[in-house]
Amino acid sequence: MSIWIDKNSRILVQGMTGKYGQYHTRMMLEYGSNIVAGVTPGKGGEEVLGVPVFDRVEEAVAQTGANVSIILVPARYAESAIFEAALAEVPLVVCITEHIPIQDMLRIMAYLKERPVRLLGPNCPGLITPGECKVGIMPGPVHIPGSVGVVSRSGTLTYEVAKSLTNANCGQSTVVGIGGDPIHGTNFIDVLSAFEEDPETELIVMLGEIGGDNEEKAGEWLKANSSKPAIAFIAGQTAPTGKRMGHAGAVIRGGKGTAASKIESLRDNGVQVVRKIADIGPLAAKLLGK
Amino acid sequence: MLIHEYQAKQKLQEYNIAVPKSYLITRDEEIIHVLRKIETPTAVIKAQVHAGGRGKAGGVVVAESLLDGITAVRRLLGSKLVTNQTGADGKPVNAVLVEEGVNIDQEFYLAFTINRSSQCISLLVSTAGGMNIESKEHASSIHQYDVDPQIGMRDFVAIRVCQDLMLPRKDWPAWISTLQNLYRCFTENDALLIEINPFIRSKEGKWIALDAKIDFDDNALFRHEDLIMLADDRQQTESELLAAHYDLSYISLDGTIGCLVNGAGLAMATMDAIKESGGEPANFLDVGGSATTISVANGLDILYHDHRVEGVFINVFGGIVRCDIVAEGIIRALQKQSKDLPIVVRLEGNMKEEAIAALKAFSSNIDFVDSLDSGAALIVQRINERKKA
Repeated sequence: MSIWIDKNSRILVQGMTGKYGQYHTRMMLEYGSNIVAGVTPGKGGEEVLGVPVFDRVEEAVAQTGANVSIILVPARYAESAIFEAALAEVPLVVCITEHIPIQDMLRIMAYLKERPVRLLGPNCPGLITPGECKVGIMPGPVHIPGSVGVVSRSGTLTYEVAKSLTNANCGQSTVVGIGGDPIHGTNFIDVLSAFEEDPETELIVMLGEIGGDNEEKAGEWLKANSSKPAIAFIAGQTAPTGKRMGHAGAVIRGGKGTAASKIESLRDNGVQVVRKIADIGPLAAKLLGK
Repeated sequence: MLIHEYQAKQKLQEYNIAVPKSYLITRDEEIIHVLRKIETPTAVIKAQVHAGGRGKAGGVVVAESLLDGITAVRRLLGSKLVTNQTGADGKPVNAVLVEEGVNIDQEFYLAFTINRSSQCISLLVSTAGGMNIESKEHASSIHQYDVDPQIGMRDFVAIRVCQDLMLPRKDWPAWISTLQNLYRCFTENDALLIEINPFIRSKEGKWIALDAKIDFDDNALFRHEDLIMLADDRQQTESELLAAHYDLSYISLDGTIGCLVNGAGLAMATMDAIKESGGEPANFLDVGGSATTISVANGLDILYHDHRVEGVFINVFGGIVRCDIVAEGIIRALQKQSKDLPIVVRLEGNMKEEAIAALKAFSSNIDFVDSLDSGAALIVQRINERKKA
């Protein structure tokens, strides 16, 4: 079991014909993901890596039954790409694109409130259900199937943690990157709720970072609703106030959003917060009785 | 993208927000000529730097005479202003704004910002204007309003603000138009922050923005060519400009250990691990999740160019990126360097062995580690060994 994607997911790639899009389409196909369509305006009728390309998302969905879209278009076209997928009511839209203007995201989020569509990201690595399906840009081989649900605001840091878990023989049910932007479609609590309902997920690993109060809210949610143990790591303990640390959302403002306050809040809510990434694998093994 | 106060005030004027009568001085020979134009008993002299905390750092002076004014402008112009937000090196004062004095009757705090939790633009107002609004004792006095993007800053929204501030009815029209103009300025220019502190009523009954801070969304500059012109490179360090030129994400910190990492989250975790090992990171440097030969080589150039850097820790989680490509970038950069710094390299991913073999063949001076934590500990140790030697 897993959350949101599995071997039956039918994937559509928006921006498939570009260099970046083609590369990651190939990587996803090699992982075994079921990619049924690509969309690039003006390139309808072509084929990339054996996958048919359409001009518009609506056509692609109508003809292929795609139910997940991954967006790999440049930032200035991303707002339109997300609107198009949402209008076609693709249930899960995964936006990898970084550097989308924040007011574009405000318009998108206002619109999505009324739609049965989940947006993951933007500025995220996507998600993977190891051994079944990858909708993202993460390296497949560092993951193995299992019972740890991972949710993270980061990309490479998540790969690092997946490797730590895999080395400790703790496989993952699904690994979800929610992205490093301040305005994002799916937050920690959305993912934690799905993990709570997934019978295969036995343990949760949460990777947070400075900025905002998403981690604090997640901690409160876990205490009130979760029956599963949770481990957390917060990046940015040495980050200065007022500077954006790479991710647009990773910024401490007016003393709020510090790593220290997040760690304290998570601990108060019963989450085990580790200080070193490498401790995550061994601690997970211990909690799972391995 | 931050802009200077004088630029922010010009932007506000475009949106019919009143600001004090002012002059900008950028050259010594203009000083007396400009100051003589001031018609009020006092003049306010303000250093133009991209940082807050100017008042406490001596960057804002109220001059009561022409001579006072000349002395203050002379002292500031061409100096470096160190505030609690600039770091030890300070920011260069290349321009000084001279404003006519204003008789303040009442001060307010007024800001539009992006609210991450409610995912909309928020208005913040307070009657505690002029104060350090972020301090705890004033936090409770701030009224916050989330603006529904589909409704916008309508009259009834603004009237609610006037009521909460207990403003007399005669002030409502001025506030309604101010709030509507500011909201339009925010949305039309893809701002992240517009802060007016203080927004004041003068004794003559005028509403004036005495200070202004605007931050625009870098990611939206592609559709605002006019805003790109407002950038001031001189407010950034050489390392920051190099990084911007190479399209890398870089932030200068106060320590001595240069770190080069792929991915922002991993870069922060690497800084934390260095601190945990007793060291201090000199920077945050993210060469991008999918590091390339060129991004790694450029990143290393920046670290070697920084005279404070005493050792380098390279932490790249290859994954999809091949490690031999990263190694090529390291070699390309080091070939040009005569500086002999200790280097610790941690590579993970495809072609790791080949990459390490290539680096070993290139130099016997590089240490290799298998994990982030051991790498952080080793670079701290290497730097300490050199200091003792």
